[in-house]
Formats: sequence, C-alpha cells, structure tokens
Amino acid sequence: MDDPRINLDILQADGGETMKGAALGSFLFLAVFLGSCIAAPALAQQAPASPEAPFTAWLMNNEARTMAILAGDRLVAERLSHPLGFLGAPSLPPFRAELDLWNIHLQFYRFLPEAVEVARLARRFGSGEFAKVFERAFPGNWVTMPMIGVPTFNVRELSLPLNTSFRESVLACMGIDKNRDADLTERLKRSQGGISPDDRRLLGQYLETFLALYPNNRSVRAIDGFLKHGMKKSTAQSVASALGLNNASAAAEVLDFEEAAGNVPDTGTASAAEAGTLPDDAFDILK
Amino acid sequence: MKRICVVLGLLCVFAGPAPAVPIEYKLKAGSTYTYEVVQRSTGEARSNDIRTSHPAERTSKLEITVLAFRDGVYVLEISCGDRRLRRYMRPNGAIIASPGEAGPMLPLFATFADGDWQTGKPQTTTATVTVGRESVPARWTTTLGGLDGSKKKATIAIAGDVTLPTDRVTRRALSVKGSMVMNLETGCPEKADWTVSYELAFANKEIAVTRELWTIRESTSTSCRLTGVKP
Repeated sequence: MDDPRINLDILQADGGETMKGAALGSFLFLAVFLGSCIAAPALAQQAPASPEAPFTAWLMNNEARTMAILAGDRLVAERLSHPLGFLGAPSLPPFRAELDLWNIHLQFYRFLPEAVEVARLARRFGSGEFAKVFERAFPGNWVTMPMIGVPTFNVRELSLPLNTSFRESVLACMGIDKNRDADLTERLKRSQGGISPDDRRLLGQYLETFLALYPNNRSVRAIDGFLKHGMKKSTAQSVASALGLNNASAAAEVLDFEEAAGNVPDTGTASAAEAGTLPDDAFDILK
Repeated sequence: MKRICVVLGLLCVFAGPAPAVPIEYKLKAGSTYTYEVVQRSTGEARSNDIRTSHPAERTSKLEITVLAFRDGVYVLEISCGDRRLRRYMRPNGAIIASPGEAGPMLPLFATFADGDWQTGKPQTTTATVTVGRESVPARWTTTLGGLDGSKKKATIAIAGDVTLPTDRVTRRALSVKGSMVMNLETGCPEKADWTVSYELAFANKEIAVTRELWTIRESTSTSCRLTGVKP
C-alpha cells in the first residue's frame, strides 16, 4: 500500500514547498514567496508532466491505435461494399460511432486537469498550515506591533486594511480567484457538470483498468482516490478560511483531504512485481 | 432391395443431372436499367456500460445505361444522384476499366465463373487487399442456389471475407453476405441484397487477463430492385 502522503505530494507539482515554511516565520515566507514569483517564468518553461498525464496518454494512445485501425479497415470495407460492378450505387457509410466515445473522453481530458488542480488547492490550503503562515505574515500584525498601547492609536483601523490588501495581493499573485476557489467542492462539481453518471462510471472503470495495468503509478492512484472519495467538508472550509472568506479557524482543521486520499483501496489486480511500465515517452504510440 | 435400386435409377434417368447453366450478363446496348436502391447502415460503439447506436437509411434511384458492347466489353454509364461513373465490364462482371475512379480505391468486385454452374457448388475468386502496411487475402464466393420453376431466374449466394490482422489486443472481422436473382433471359440482375458487417474489439492485455476497452460494430445493407428497363 502506497504512503498516502507520498501520493498527495505527487499531486503537488509546484508552489507547495511554501507550506513547509511555517517554522521559518513570516519574513522568510515573504522572501520565499517573492523568490518563487521571480522564478515562476523559468519554472514554467520546465513544467513537469501533470499527474493525470500517464492516464490520459494511455487513453489517447488507445484511441489513436483504434483510429488508425478503423481508418484502414474502413477503406477495406468500402472496397468490399460493392460486390457487383454493374450496380455501382454509392455506399452509405455508417456513422462513426466511436466519435461518441471520443466525445466522452474529451470531457475526461477537460475534467481531469481541473480535478487535479482542485486536489492541489485542497492539499495546499486545506490543511490549515497555509492559513497559519499567512496569519503570521500579515503586515497589519507586525507593523502595528510597536504602537500597541499608544492611547490615541487604533490598531484595528490600520491593520485591517493592511491585512486585507496583503491577502488579496498575495492570492492574486498566486493565481487564486476567491470567487472560483473559495468553495472547492462546488468547483469540482462545476467541472464535472457535463459528465453524466454513466460517463463518470466509465472514467472510474478506465482508471481501474489503468491501475490494473500500471499498479505502481501513484499519481493516478491518488487521482482515482480523490475522485472516489472527494474532499471532506472541513477541508473545503479550511480552504475558504485560508482565502479569508469565513471566520472558521483554519488551524483547527485536520488533514482531511490527506486522510481521504489515504483510504484509497488497492484496486490493482496485477502484482506490482509483474506490472507493466509506461514507456519513457508515453505519447509515442509507436512503442 | 432390387426394386429400390431400379426406382432410384429411373429417377436419375428422368430427373437428369443437377442444373448446369452459364451465368453472365447479357445486356442490351442502348438500354437503360433502372433500380431502386435502399441502403441501411448502423454504427455502434460500446465501452463497458456505455452503448451508442446510429442507424441511417437512404433510398435512391440507380440508372445504368449500356452505351455499347464491343469486343466482349460492355460500356456502362452509371448514375445515382450526383454520382456518374463510366465502367467497362465483361459479361462475367469483371470491371476492366473505370476511368473516373482511382485504381487503388476501385472496389473489389465479385465475378461470375466461366462455364456452366452446378447448383450448390461454390465458385471462389481471390484477391489481395492492403490493410495498413500489410497485404491480406480477400475472397469472394458465389454459389448457385437454384433455378426457379421456369428456369429463367437463378438465385446466387454471394459471400466475401477478408482476413484482417489481429493481435493480442485487437480482434477484427469483416464479411459480406448476400444474394442476387439473375434473370437468365434478360441477362441482368432482378434484385440483389448484401450486407457488409464489421467489428473491432479493442482490449488491453494484462499478464493473464484481457480487459476489453471498447467494441465498434458497423453494418451496411444494400438492397437493389429492378424497376424498369428502357427501351
């Protein structure tokens, strides 16, 4: 059984390291944050493969092989569709029914990156660690500290706008949209809005097949677990708290998302020792 | 026992051998043969619990004008809707030229064997078709099913198949089945029906278990009926 923490770390492709800076204090956080902002363009050029990429590549490869076979076979079928040269009516080609499947898969390709992004956000913000670090870094807290006790000075009047401005600026720099990300459960629901229950079940069956073929692929197993078990309500609340959208104490929340993903059942049917391995270039369908 | 043998012997003498007839086109130059063509197709896809099906149907008029017959070759002008073809056909159905169609895409036509046909005896013609990078054998089998009471119409069964390559993850099958009624007097088909069936089953293979991913099925049936001959 894979370590669920390792599974979740795979989902965290970038930016997650900032969470571990809680012990380093507020200023260190800012330094790391600014550094990551500066380094972001360079990192973007070497973006790691998305966690869902092995699965989508596998599905796309199977699609591609099927398309190639069908294209060739249809030419042969067309040549056999007119046994009598005398009766030369044009053929009525059947509807390419596989397009229905490809359309369903297209929804998967759109949905999975969104689900992974939700999982990443849940991992990053749902634990409460981020909220703690965030609170320590609020400028309103430390800027007004020396003036606490001055009789005519209203600490709250100065610190509140400072903190609000700081929070909004940082979240904007991190690409967090409060309206979109405050309720991750809702965002996850929205992203799979067009996927019917049958199609959703098909995705689960595909994931099961993939994991049976490649049981050691922990990133896809983590996605499968996330899609099966989702987020606990407290995780979503923690995210909202980290984004400053409610008054819940983020620090009091537990790592619900990690626990949820940690309960992923082992669906692998092939032994790990005999399991297949993905080719180096998963998109190379000729391998 | 002797009586039975005598009766059987007499039956053979009076009934004669199984019907043996030549089957070939005997078209009249300058005539136009009109057929009603009804085509139905279905495309199906299945993956686990997902099943989709798309049936379609089309009725059209097919006109074949025999422009000439010279040196044992019919020159046919075939029109169906917007499509017009010029084909040069031998009496056995072999198309020797079709100027408007690209050679590699020319259909693989079934032809009638020369000489007399025996009822129930299959006539087979083989050819090679290219599938991807491979060449695979294709085969047409035509069998005289029998003659009607007036012995003017012959029913001929048509079957075609191609041995498509398969491997551990794909299973493919393509076949054609049908029949035609040939009027031996007028030398043209009165009706012809055939169905092309195709199936692809695509799977992923584990060590010991085959996991089917999806199955694609296609079927096209064509039904031609002679509606008129002019003049």
